[in-house]
Amino acid sequence: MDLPLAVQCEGITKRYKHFTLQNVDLSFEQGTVMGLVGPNGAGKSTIMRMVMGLIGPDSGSVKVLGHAMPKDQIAAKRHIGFVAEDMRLYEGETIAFHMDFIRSIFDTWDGDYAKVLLRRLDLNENQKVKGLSHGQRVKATLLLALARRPGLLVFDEPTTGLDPVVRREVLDEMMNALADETRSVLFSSHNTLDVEQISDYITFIYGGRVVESLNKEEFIDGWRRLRLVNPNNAPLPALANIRDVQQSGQIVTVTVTGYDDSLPAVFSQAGMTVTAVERLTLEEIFLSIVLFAKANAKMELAA
Amino acid sequence: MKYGFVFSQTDSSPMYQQIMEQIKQRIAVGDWPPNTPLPSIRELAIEIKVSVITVKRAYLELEREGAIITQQGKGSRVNDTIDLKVLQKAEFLQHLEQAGRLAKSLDIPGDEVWLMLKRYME
Amino acid sequence: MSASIVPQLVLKDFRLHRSIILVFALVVLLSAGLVSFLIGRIPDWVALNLGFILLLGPAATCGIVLLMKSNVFEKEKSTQAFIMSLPVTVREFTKAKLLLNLPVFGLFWLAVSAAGFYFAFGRGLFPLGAVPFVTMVFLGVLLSYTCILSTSLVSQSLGLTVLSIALFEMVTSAYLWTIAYLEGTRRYIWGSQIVWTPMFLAIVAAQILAAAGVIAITLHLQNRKRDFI
Repeated sequence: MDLPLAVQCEGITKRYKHFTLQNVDLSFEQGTVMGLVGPNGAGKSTIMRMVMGLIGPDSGSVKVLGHAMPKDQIAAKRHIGFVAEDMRLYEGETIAFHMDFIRSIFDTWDGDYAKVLLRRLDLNENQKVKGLSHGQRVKATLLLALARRPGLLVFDEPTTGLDPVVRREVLDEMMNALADETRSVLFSSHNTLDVEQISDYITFIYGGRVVESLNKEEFIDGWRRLRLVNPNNAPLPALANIRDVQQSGQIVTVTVTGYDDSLPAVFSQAGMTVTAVERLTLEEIFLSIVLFAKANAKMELAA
Repeated sequence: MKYGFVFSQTDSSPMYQQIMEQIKQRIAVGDWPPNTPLPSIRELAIEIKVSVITVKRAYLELEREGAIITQQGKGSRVNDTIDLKVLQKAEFLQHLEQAGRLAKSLDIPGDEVWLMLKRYME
Repeated sequence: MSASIVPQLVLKDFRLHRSIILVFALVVLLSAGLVSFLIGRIPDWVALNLGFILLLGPAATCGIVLLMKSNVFEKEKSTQAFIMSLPVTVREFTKAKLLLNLPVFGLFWLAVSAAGFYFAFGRGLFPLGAVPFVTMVFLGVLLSYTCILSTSLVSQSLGLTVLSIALFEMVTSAYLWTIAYLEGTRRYIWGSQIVWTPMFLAIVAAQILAAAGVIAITLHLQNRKRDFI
């Protein structure tokens, strides 16, 4: 296939007074979902805005659907639907006003699909934005982005502050949009459950850097928690992939990345009994990564 | 819900295994007889709102186990030479594996495990 | 698909703000009617000052309110992220704002200027010698508005826009005093002849060029912006 990548960021750097985005690489092909995970202030929104051409990088390059950003943003944005948590519609106008406006701009606007979305998302097009709840506002912006049938959906924290029902509706419509095999999604969330469920690829951002960027299955598969009994208080094997150790008496819990089936034997040979090998949820992995990065930063400071 | 897949968030097994289990169950009870075409990966992913890559992995593992056959360009179908007993045996072995590990961590000796197991077989 | 969505953006802003524009247009019309009725019934100098306030006041207010609502509030109320997610650049966004604000204020300005000239010279409040002076007054208002509009577009800051309004109001007052005390003004203003001294012509030309220049600089600055939002 000769399709250009959905998003291709290479070495993007952006300096702010109190924050620097450093040398970020982020790429994924069309037809896939990329989830950006990271704590607040890690740089997720900055990356998304660069992908939208709203911010230009100090160095590095951004390409979206083959278009260089921000230079070719007009051509690129014809094929992007953007929903951001801090994006607002015109308070005094109805949803229908906004639908008319978007339809006047995109000849790809699908009126039938818009009607279906209104019904499925439980929205009344004649209602003014002023009277909408937060969930309804998010759903309205989602509708405006989806009904023009863009090739790439960019969603910045789409599910933040939504109740479980609306969150479900928003995620469902994001997935439904993927029925077309070339359609792609880039979305950020600090809700790891959302990311774990619908992403094909996951990129972890922490302190303005990419910590990991991987295929989700490999990524989650690589992490394990080993529960050990260490009766002789033997030293732990010196493995580079240990991310966390909790010890209390003879009971030891070790969190590792890059796990493979030969690992338990390493601990057995060191004189420990492996009582359990557990998988981690994305949330646990996320916390582990952040704690490890924080500890490293402290060590660097001390050194 | 066309295929009626229901997943559990409290189930500790990963999503791709849950998908495998549910497909194997449909094959084992005969709802999906041999040669039944499976939904395409993307179709199932959208139906159950799970990422394409997870469904792809479930299909790959099912193929490795011999439960389904995937042909380039034609999609996947239930294996026609499938031996249901083999499929069920694989599942049985998984349960045994778990039981064995648990027994080890509880320090239950092998012959005791055998006696316990025997009780259920009579 | 059309290449540029500037027309759609202008139309959208016009639809958003047409009721305000309409209200101010009605106020200007009523003021004009009132001034017309009062001329001859009150002393000329009172009519002159009243006309200046009643006509220019609502026109200038409409210009300011429109640039606030269409531009500064776009940022303040975060609707800008929505607009910038559409196929536009900063330059096009700015162009659309200029194409809404300039013609609307321009029409108000023309109408008010026309009414001003009619009352001043058609109804005999001023002798014809004052034509250059009145021309320079109205052009001064136009230049002042252009500067405020430019400030609001480039800064998109409520504070800076308000500051520029205060600043250019002062500058305009100072400018009015200056041209009132020009040698040429004092010599010809009460005469019945229209005399364009080289100084008058230079001021008029400078004002028109400055207004055009301010708009060009605005577009240039906006074109260079890499971060918007």
